[in-house]
Amino acid sequence: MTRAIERQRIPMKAKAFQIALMAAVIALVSGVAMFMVLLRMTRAPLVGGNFVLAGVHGPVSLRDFRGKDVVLYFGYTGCPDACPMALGKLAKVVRQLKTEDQARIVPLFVSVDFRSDTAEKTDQYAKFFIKDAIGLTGTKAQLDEVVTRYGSSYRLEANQKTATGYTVQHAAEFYLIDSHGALSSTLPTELPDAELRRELESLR
Amino acid sequence: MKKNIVSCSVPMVFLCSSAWAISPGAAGVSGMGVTPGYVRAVPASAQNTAAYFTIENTSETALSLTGAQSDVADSVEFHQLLRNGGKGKLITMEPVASVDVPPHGKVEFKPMGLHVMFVGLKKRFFSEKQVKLTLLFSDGEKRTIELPVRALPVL
Repeated sequence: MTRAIERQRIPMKAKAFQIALMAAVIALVSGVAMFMVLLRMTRAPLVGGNFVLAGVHGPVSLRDFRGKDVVLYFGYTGCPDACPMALGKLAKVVRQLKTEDQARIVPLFVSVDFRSDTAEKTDQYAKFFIKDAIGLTGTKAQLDEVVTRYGSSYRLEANQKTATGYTVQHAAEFYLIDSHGALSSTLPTELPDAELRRELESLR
Repeated sequence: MKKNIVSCSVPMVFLCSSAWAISPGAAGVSGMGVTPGYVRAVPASAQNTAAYFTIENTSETALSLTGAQSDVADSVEFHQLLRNGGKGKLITMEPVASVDVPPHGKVEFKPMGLHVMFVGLKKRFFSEKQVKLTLLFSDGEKRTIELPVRALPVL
């Protein structure tokens, strides 16, 4: 009798061991997965993703540019120094790319000055510096959402020292979005030309 | 001034004379030399633009640029680009009342730094090839310079 019990106990023990092992494996795998998710979150807090803004002919969304690589920049039309410099640099670097690479890049200039800018003004401004650029703007809510999505920010601040009565703080960064709509990298606009060129070439 | 002449010994003559060449100085009243730069061409949808140049104080005393005037804009201001950092590495243009130039010092108005800001461009700016800019200095001197309107190459 005791033997029979013993015989039964051994496979039960083995089963318990199997379950314990499986539990350990599951715990390990989920632990590693969670660690990787956390690592991704700390390394890349930028999510990117779709957005809808106002264009000259109505709403424009990032999805409209699937299959193209987008270079997103936030500025405003009353910006006579940093924005022309950034757009000028982008124009110069894009011109250095192979013709087929040039064709897949869409520069998107987004005005964060919802107080003064319209899609028409913004588009005209952007095209003055880059012929193929597209100028967009939006409501405060739309702009707040897109800058948050891309890990950026902006600020309109009352300032009586200037005739316009306010100053605009905006990002000095390019947001590179690949042909699937995923945020690929965030680069300072003052990056050397050669590095920006490499980043644009490695998009796809 | 005497010290300045003394320092113009043999190897310095060329440098000193070239410095004087860019600073005609109204009857020697002001020691401020101005090297014209350019005004940025912008589309008609832009309400503002920026002007760039270099000012050099060849005198022994500190001088400052206290104002500027032009008839192509509603207001002419001095703006300094500030890097505020934060999310997106924010930048802004901060209006400054005056710009100090130390004795024998130089201040460059250049992109991504300091610029003269033409606020509220008048319609006729967009057809101009040259723009007149009058600079006002702390010693009471007024200097009018002509700057070409220059466009960035367009893709």
